[in-house]
Amino acid sequence: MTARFWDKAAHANRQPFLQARVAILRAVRAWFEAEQFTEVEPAALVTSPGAEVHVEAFESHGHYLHTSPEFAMKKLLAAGERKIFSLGKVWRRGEAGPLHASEFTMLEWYRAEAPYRHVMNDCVAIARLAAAATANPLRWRQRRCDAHAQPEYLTVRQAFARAGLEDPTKLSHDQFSAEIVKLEPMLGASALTLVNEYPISEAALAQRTRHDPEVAERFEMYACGVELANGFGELTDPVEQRARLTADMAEKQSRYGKTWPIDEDFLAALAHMPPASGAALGFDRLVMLASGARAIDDVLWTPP
Amino acid sequence: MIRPAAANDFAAIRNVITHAFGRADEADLVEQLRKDGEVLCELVAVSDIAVEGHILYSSLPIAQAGQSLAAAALAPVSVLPAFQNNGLGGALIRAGNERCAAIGCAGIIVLGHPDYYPRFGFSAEAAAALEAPFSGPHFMALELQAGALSRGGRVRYARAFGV
Repeated sequence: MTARFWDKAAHANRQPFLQARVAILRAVRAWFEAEQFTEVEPAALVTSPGAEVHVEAFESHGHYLHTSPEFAMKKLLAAGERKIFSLGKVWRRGEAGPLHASEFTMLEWYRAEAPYRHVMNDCVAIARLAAAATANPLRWRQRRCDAHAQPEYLTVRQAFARAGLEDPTKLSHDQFSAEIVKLEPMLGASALTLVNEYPISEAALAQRTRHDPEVAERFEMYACGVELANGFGELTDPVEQRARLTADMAEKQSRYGKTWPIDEDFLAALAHMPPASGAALGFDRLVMLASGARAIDDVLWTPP
Repeated sequence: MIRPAAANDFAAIRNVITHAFGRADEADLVEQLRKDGEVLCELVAVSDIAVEGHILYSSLPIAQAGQSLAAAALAPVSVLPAFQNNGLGGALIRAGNERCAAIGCAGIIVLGHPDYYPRFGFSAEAAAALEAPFSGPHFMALELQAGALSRGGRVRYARAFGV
């Protein structure tokens, strides 16, 4: 049996990682303040927990714990907020492992009227300040990644071609998922890698790129083979968004025998939302990599 | 910000060019041009995060009636795919063209898209009198000294181009 987290020796063992968490949390808040963001606190209890086919939510009495604050934050953009961030807990049932916990901290932010390259740069800046807070390279197991080096920018097509894989826009969602899992260990190998332009089948809440309707303004940032962040040039077309949500929820029903209600209030708000870009970054993972933690439990104050 | 490229940008520049073109040929060309001492002007577009774009001009002497006219070949210009359609390429070309004029180039030659380069003053007409391995609408020139290119002459690309 593993030691309880309040065991003095176990806690002392985790202290360096927890202190790194405190330092990075402070640095992240200071950075957003310097960028003139407003910190918002979206409600965790919601009537529709998100948009992801493969994520399971905690449910009770017709409400859910949110799996992401995305819908709520976009409603705040529709309400007139311009630059907002949220640093809070989200819940995803059944996620457990060295890189996963059912309850984890998501850093999510949005910039109205900003192109998605702007939030790509934000992701790099945040990774750098975490690395600077611990004065160490990002690291995970045997891998090292210098966050301060020139990031590597790859389109998904380029990442697939480099690995000798076929055109990702021709793959089904399942095929794509199987291939990207194989690619991940190679991403962020020495510098941060930003993979962008995802096939439209993987677009989720991202808009199509202007130059190629087969790909979307979506990116993910990797370090040491670990996915740290996921961002979009946000889709603001309620018609296309409804079609995608409906298809995704039908897929969820057919695969898992359950579905989530479509958040009609979100679709209504979308028509009032300005063009925007946003990203979500796994804060615990960032702390893990910056502090050299062995598993996510090392960086959680009260691990399960 | 656009500034001259420095030696500690070279690894980042390779990354930018490779991803912009989706292959290594142009990055290899740039490195060979540097090695051969053929670089006239090399600029980068940088943010405080990364090198986002790059442009290089190499020396391109034009032989005219026993004399050699100093001109420049613009190639390659590249912007990271995620940062394209943002005016970065155009800003690099304008800054580079100005730099070439300042160091006394008589003109600039480019092999590029006829819908794109004319907005910076390039035209196929300006290149028409030149004797070169290329011709047609993609082979364009910009005169920096009035009449310098209309007198014709034979252009000699740097060896690294292999033409």
